[in-house]
This record gives sequence, C-alpha cells and structure tokens, in this order.
Amino acid sequence: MNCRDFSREADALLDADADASPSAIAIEARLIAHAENCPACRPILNRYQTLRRAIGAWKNPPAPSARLIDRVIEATRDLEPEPSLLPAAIGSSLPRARLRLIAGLAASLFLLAVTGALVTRRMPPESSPPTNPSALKMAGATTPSQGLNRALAEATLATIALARSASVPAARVGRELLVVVETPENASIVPTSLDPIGAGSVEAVEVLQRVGDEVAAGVRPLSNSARHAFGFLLDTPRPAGSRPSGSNTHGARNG
Amino acid sequence: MDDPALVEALRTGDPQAPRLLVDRYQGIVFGLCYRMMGHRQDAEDAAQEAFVRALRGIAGFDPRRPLRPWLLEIAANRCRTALARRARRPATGSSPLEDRPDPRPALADPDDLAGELERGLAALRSEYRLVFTLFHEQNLSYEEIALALSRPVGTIKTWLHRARAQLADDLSRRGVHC
Repeated sequence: MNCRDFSREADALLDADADASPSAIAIEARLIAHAENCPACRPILNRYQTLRRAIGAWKNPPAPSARLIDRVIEATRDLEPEPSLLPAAIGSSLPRARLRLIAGLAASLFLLAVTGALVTRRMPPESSPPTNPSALKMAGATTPSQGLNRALAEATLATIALARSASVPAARVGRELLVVVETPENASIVPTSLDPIGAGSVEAVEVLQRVGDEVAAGVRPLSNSARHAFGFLLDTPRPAGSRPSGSNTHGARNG
Repeated sequence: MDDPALVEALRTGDPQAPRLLVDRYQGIVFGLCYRMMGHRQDAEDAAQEAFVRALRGIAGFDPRRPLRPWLLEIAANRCRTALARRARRPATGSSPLEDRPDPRPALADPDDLAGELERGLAALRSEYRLVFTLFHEQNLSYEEIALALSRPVGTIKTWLHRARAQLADDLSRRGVHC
C-alpha cells in the first residue's frame, strides 16, 4: 500500500464496518502496517479510528411514534373507493383492487353516458321520460320534461367537466362508453330510470374491461369527491337467486 | 412474507398488507425524513405522506423492482416538497433545535463520542450530512442512496468520502481522540 491508496483503504474500512464484513480486520491490519512506517499517514489513521468509534457509539436511528402506522391506515382508508360489487360475470376474474377502481370509474362514466343519452333524446320510443320527483324539485320546472331536461343538461356539463379534470384518458374512455350505449343495438341497456346498472351487454362488459386495463396502466380514477357524489349509482348486492348471473338483465327487464 | 408477495398482497387488496408494509419500512422511511427535515413532527408528516403515496401507486409498481429504494425515493421527494414549502413560509419563531438529542453523554458513551459526532454533522453541508446518515445510520447501500436522492452512485461515494474526511478532521480539531 502507498500513501495514495491510504485514504481509499480507510473508506473501505468504514464500508466494511457498516456491512459487518470480516474483511474489516484485514483492511485494518494493512492500514496499521503502512501507518507504522509512514509519519504522514499515521495521524490520518488515528483520525479515522476515532471516527470509527464515534460512528459505533452514534448509531441510534430515530424511531417514529407508535401512531404512524395508524395514521397511514386512516389516511389510506379515506382514499379507498366505496365498497361495491360488480356482477359476477365481470368481477370473478379480476383482482379486488382493480374491481373497486372499475366500479368507481364505471359508475361515474355511466352517469355521463346516461345523461348524454337522455339529453340527446335517444331513448327507446316505448319508454317514458323519468318523472323523478327529486329531479323536478331540483330543476324547479313547471313541466316534468322541461325540469328533467334542464337538470340532466346541468349534470352532463358537470360530469364532463369532472371527467376532464380527472384525467384525459379517463374522459376518452368515457366517450367510448357513450358510443357503446348510443349504438342502436345497445339501446336495451339504457335504463328507463336512474337505477344502478346491472349486468350489461357484451359490448358494455368489454368496455368495462378496457376501463380496467386503462386504470391498471396508470389512468387515474376519478377523485374521492366524485366517487362520493356518484356513489348512489353503485350496484348493491342482490339476494341470491333474484337475478340470473351473467344474463342481460336489461334485456330481460325490457321484455 | 417477502417483498414481491407483499406487493401482490397490496395489489389484490389484502387488508393486512398496508399495515405490514408500514411496519416493515417505517423505521427507515422515518429515519430518512428525520434527517432531511430536522424536525420530528415534520418528519412524521412526510413519512405518512410517503406511505400514502406509495399505497396509492402500488398498482403501477413493478413487483420485480426492490421495494425499499422506491419507498425511499418517494419519501425523499415528499421531504423536498415539504422543505420547499417550509422555505416559502414566514418564520414562526419555533426553534429548529427542539429535536436535538439529549446532549448529556450516555453511560455507554462516557466520552460522548456520539454527541461529538452530532456536533460535527451539524457543521457539514446538508447533502454530505444526509448521505453520511443514510449510509451509517440507516444502513442503506450506495445504490439505494443514489436512487433515493436521484444522484449517480459516483456522486454518493464522493459525498460520503468528503463527509468522513471532514468529520475525522473536525473531531481531531476539537481534541476528540481515542
């Protein structure tokens, strides 16, 4: 060893100490052997030996409070979407976390689809406009159709703004869903009231699957406030046997 | 449960997995935050934010990557954001020294080498001090420190070498010898 290697070897000694490596003994022996014959390096060795002991006495990492775990769990609980169940045909093969994201995003996108479809007056001719009393009251209108249309138009604008502010990819997926529900072949899945969606057509299921893929690829779901706002649209578990699993319930409902 | 299994448990919504993640890494994450923030409460807030961010982003995390450097990188970013916010806030008069360790020498350290080292650390440049504490106190590797601080490994080695050299000189200048 020469003097130029000495400080590098001193660093290696401190590295070996940190790893509790047996090589520390050999490195220290080399340093001592060189320092015994080198007046310039001897004080350097002394300083590094003092530093080694100081590090050994000092290693007492600060510990967090016992509450940190609870605080994190509480904070993440606030971020979780409302519990919901997708129909078994959709949900059976998907991880639960993805199901929750799909449920929240699909519920919000469905509102966009429904309000868009109703405002553009593409409802099936045999259906009648919803006469939801709370919608009429909200709109303050004199006739049911005027009040409902105004309320739905306002909801559509708000939903579009919300989807845009959530993420551009999420809005794009929302538009795809709109195209699906406005396709004449899928008219049967547009409900005649604002009940939560059950098992839909094959195309709607495919779009929901794509939504899940988008979310898994990093598309952000809508905000917690959006989930709270549209949580009433989330499907609730139905009693066993009340509806066949995997069937087109809207087709069955419409006869 | 190893880290890949823990990541999978988090992604599938295992209710116990978040608690396990925090329990496993809170020491090292808090240690980094404490050394960067210099204040216990701020460090806890930053550590909490770091874990929340990690749990929110776990769906996009590649389970083949090591978990610890990713968590530390998130924590370091949270601390940098908090430090920038703190720099913009008017001074409140609270002392940054309130979280200093007890200055009295411990029974196991009658020469108070630990205290002397703390005093030397306080005089170091912040990046040298951070790298030194992450390596010697938190036992992170060069690569983990480089990932957490978004610096090349060579820079980390240089900073650590300089920190050690300055500390060794500082101890000697103040008459601390063994």
